[in-house]
Amino acid sequence: MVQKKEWAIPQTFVQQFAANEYVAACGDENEVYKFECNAGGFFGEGGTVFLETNGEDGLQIPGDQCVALAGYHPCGETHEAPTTDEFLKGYFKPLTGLKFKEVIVWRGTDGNNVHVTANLDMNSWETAKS
Amino acid sequence: MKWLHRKPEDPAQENIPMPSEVQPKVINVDDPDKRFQANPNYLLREIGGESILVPIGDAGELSNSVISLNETSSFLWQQFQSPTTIQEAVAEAEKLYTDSAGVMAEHIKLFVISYLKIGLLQEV
Repeated sequence: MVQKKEWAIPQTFVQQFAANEYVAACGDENEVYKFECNAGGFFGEGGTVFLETNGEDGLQIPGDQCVALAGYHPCGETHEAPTTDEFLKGYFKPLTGLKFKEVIVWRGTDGNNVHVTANLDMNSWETAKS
Repeated sequence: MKWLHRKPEDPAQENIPMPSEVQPKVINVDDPDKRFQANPNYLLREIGGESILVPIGDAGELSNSVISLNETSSFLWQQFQSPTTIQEAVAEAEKLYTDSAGVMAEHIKLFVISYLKIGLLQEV
């Protein structure tokens, strides 16, 4: 007969490595991206913007964080966004239509606005010295 | 016409009802028939005498993590390799462990809730 062991509380230890998401090279501190705020619907209309926050690829509702509830509109302007800022993976869901598309979100200089680009290739973004 | 940005709205302040689609997900583990399964993007490996979950594939936010489990967590992880109810996991645990404090079932329920929250378990 197998000797039973005393039950112990299940414990899990997660050690997360901080990824080197951005390593500033010499001179990059004053560099900005020309961030084109251009993500819109078929008719150029605005919509709702979500951030990819639940770690599961694709838009999940509920799951991913809504940062602009039908309150986002593409202004079509090109913002100067410091290259050291965070550029977040997100999703744009237009007011008309059901399909969402993947976008990159920049929260603006104060970190509380919503600027969205449909150009997912950051390497193609124009840069400039600020 | 120039479109202007609006700051993210606070539905509470603007009296806009928050749609159900953005409500926080409610995890219901009280359904006795509900089955849960380990996320296949993590593999359990014994490394240096420790049980470690190794993220593979699309492991999400824990992809850069080392996840070590104690013996009972490791046991439960193995139980949930196939779709399993909490009650079934408790029954299997009772075969191997004594529970003099009467806390095993509650611990397993909390294990499931915690693992669902961080994506290590999935609802089936």
